[in-house]
Amino acid sequence: MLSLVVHTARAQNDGDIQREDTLQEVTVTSRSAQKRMAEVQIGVEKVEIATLAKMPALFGEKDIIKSLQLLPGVKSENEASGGYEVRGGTASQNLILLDGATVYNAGHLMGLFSTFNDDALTGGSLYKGLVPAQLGGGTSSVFDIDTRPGDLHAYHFGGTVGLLSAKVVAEGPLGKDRSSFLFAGRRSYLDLFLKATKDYKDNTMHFYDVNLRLNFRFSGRDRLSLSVFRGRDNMGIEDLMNMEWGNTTATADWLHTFSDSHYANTQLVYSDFMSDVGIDMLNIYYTMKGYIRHATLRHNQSMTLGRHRLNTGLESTYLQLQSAEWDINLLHQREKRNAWTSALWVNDDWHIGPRLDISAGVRLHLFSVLGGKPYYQLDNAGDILETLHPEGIVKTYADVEPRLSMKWNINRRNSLKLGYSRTSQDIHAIRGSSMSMPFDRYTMSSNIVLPERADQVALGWVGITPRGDYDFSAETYYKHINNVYDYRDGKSFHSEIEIERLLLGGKGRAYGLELCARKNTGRLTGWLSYTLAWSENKIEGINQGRWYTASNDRRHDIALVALYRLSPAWELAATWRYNTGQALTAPSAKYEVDGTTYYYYAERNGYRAPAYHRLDLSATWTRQVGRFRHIWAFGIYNAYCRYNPFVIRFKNDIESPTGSVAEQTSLFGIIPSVSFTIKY
Amino acid sequence: MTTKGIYPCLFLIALTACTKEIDFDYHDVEPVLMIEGRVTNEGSEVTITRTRNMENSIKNPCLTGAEVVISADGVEERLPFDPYTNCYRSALCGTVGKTYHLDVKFEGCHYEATSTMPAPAPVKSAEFIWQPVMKERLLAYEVWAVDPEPDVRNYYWYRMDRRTATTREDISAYLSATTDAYRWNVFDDRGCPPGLIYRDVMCMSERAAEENEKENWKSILYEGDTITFTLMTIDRPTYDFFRSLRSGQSGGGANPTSNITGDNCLGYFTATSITHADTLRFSYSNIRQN
Repeated sequence: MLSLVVHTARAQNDGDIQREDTLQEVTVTSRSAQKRMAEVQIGVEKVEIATLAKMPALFGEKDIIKSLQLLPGVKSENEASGGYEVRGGTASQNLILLDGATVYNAGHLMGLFSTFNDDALTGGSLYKGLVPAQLGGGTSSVFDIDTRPGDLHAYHFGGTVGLLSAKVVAEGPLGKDRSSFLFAGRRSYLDLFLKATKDYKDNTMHFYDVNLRLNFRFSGRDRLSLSVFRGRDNMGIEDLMNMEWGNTTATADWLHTFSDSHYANTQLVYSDFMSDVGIDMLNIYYTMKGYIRHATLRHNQSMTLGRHRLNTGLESTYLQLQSAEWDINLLHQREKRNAWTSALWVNDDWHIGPRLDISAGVRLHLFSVLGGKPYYQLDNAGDILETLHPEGIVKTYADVEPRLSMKWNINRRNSLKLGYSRTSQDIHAIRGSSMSMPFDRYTMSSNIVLPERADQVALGWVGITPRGDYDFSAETYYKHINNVYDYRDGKSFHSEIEIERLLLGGKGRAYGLELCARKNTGRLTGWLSYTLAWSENKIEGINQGRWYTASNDRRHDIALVALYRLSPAWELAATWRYNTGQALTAPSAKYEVDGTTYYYYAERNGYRAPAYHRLDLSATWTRQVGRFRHIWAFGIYNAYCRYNPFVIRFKNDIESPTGSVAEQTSLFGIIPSVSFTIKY
Repeated sequence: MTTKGIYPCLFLIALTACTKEIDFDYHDVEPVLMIEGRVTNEGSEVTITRTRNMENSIKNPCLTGAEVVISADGVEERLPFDPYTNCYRSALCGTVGKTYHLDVKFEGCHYEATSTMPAPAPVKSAEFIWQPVMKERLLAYEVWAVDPEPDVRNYYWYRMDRRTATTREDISAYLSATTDAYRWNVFDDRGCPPGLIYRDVMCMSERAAEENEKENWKSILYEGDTITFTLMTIDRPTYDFFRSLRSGQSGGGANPTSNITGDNCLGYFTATSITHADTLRFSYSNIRQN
C-alpha cells in the first residue's frame, strides 16, 4: 500500500512555505538527521509517509496515526483504538489538522484504522504540546497533516487491493505546469461479502474516505489550492440498529508571494464531524446525533528580516456544536450551542548567532460563548437552579499564550533545547471509557465549563555522530493542566441532555523522560525509543478528591523500529513495542446488595494490567514491469501471538473457591496480511 | 473459495479475540460498613454488613448490636434484629408522600439518611416476546405499568426472579446456589407514552437456550420456571445509587453514590412503593413473536 512515487510538492509546514518544484521520489524523501538537528522547536516529531509505507500494519492497512505510537512520548489508547496519547494527555486533547481543518475521531471501524489514506498525504508534524504561536486548540498535541498536491507534469495512477479495502489514486496536470489534481479514494468491502450471504445480507458494514486536491498556479506570485476530504463509517444490523460517523473537510488556500522573503497565506476552512446512532427494537426507539462544525477564516504572513523570520496572523472561527439530539422512545431533546473563537499571533524565529536560535511567540486566544440557546446555573449535585436564555455574547474567555523554544548549539554535533508553552482547548470530549469513541459526547466551554489550559516546560538534548549515521535525543517535560472534565460517578452520556449536569472538573499533571536513538544510513535503518512517564489527575468527587494515577499512565514504554533493505526488490521491516500495563481500577473487597455480590474499589487506578508487548513484521517486494510497478506487501501482526490485555473484568463465579474471577480479554492473536499494489 | 467462505475466514482472522482467567494480586483493605435500608408498603428492613476481602467466598451475615431507628412525622420505630431473616425488621409499612428518616448507631459510629416514598406503579401486563435479530431470536420480557405521576420524571427499580423447574440436577443445583436477581435495573420514565411506563428486559438468545452451555445457565429460562417481577418506584437518590452501582461494576470502577451521611459507609436507604406482575410459568409455547 505504497503511495504514488512522483509528485511536485509545495510543502507547507507550520505556516512556513517551502517551495519544491522539482520532481521528487517520495519513497526516499527521508527527513535527514541534519534537519532534526536544525529544528529549533522542542517536542516536535515528523512522520514520513515513505517510512510509514514500509512498516508493518494491522491487516496491511498503512496507518499514519498508528505510526505515531512508535514515537517517544506517544502511546496508543489501546490495541483497538485509533486514539493516541501524548505526554500523559488523553486522545481528546489532541488537535488533528488536515490542510488546516480540524478532524475528530480520525479512525475507521471504531478506531481500528486511521481515517487518513497514506496515498493522499505528504506526511505530518506532531507537536507534543510545545507548539509555535500559529497553532492552538489542543492542550496535549497538534498533529498537522497536509494533503499531497498532484503532479504538474505527468499523469499517474495506482490501485491497491488488501484484505479489508481497496484504494485508488490518480494525479496529474489539469493545465500543464499551471494546475494539477490529486484524487485518492479507499473503500472497505466487507459489506460486499455480507451481501453475498443469506443470513447477513441485510447488514451494513463499510467505511470509505476520499481526498481531492486541486492546485492552481495563477502566476509566479499567486497559487490556490482546494482540498476536500470526506471519511465515513457505516454499520447496521438489518433495520434494528445503525451507526454512522465521519468527517468532512474543505480548505481553500491562497498563497501570495510578495518577495522571496515575504509571503501571505489565506485559508477558508470548513470542517464537519458527525455521529449518528439509532436502535429500533421491540418498544425501544433510540436515536442520538451529534456534530461539531467549524467555519474558519485564517490569514498569516511570513517574512524574513535579517536574522528574524516572523510569522504573524489571525484566525476567526464560527463553531456549532450539538452535544446530542436524541429520541428516547417518545421523548425528543436537543442541545446545540454556538460559539465564536478568534486568535491573533506573532512568532519570531530568531537566529541570534551560530550557537543560539530562539522561536518565541505569543498567541491571544478569545472564545465567546454565544446566546440564543439555554444556559444553566447548577447546584453542586448538578441539578438546575435556573435556566437562562441569554442573547448576544454570554461570556468571553481570553487567554494570552506564550510560546518559547530555544536551541543552544554546544558544538556542531550537540545541542540543548528548552521550551515552554501555554495552550488552551475549548472543545471537550467527555468520554464514557478510557477509549475514545465516535459517539462520545462533546461540549464547548460555556458559562459553567471552563477552557482547558495546559502549561508545559521541556528540556532536551540532541546529538549526532560526525557522519550523521546515528543521532540521539533526550527530552524531559513537566505539564500541568487545568479544567479537565469527566463524568460524575454514576452518570453516562444519556443521563441528561444538559451535558454540564453530568460533569466534574479537575486538573492533571504529567512528567517524564523520552530517549531516542536513530540509525540513519546503511541497509539497516530505524530507531529505538524509550519513555519514562507519570500522569495523574485530581477531580473533586473522585478518589476522595486526592491525586490519582490517570488511566493512561504507563510507566515504561519502548519502541524498536528496524527497516532493512535486503535487495533492490525486497525490503523488510520489524517493529516491537513494550509498555507497562495500563493503570486499572480493580476491586479490593466485595459486599452484597439485594443478595447480589458487588465490588468495592478502594482506589482509582490503583492496579496495573499485565504488560503489553508485540512484534510486527513485514516484507515488501517491488518489481518494475514496463511502465508499471508491482508491489506485494506481506505482513504479520503480533508475530509471536502475545495475547495482550484489552479488557480485564471481575465477575462472580460460584464455582471458584474465592467466589470471584479476573478475566482478561485480548483482541488479536497473530494476524497475517497481504496486499497488492500496481502503479503507473 | 466462494465469497460466502471468504467472509467467515476474514472474521476468523480478524476476531482472534481470546478470553482467559488470570491471576490477580488484590490489595488488602480495611472492611467498610454496608447499610441497606428499605421502607416499603410491605414492611421495613435494614441489613448491616461489612465488606470482605476478594479471596473470601462466604457472604458476611448481618451485624448484630446496632441501634436502628426509622422515623417519620415525629414517630419513631425501633427495628429489632430478626435472626430468621438475618436483618433488622419491622412491620412498619410506608405511606406514599411521607419522608422517612433512618438512624443507625453501631460501634460508636452514626449513620443517617432520608427518603420520600413515591406513589406505586401498578403493573398492567407482562409477557415474553421473541425478537428476531439477524438469523436468531432474542427473548424479551415486556412489562407495562401505570405511571403514577405522568407530569414529573419518576424513577423505578425492577427485580426479576426465577425459580427453576429444570429436571437437570446439575443445573438446578447451580442456580439454587445463587441469590442474585435474574435481572434487575433502574430506569426513568422519559419518553414513555402519557400515563404509562414500560420496560423490555432482555433475557436470552434462542441459540443459547438450545446449546444450553454452562456459562449461560444463569440466563437461560427453562420450561416451567416460575417468573416473578417486582416493580418499585424510588426517589432520585435511590436511582442514583443503583445506577452508579451498575455503571461502577461494569467497567466504571467506582463505588455507588450513597445517600447515607455521617461516618464512612456504603449503601442506601429508600422508601419505595412495591407492585408485582402476575407470577408466570415460563413456557416456550406461550411466547409472542414480535
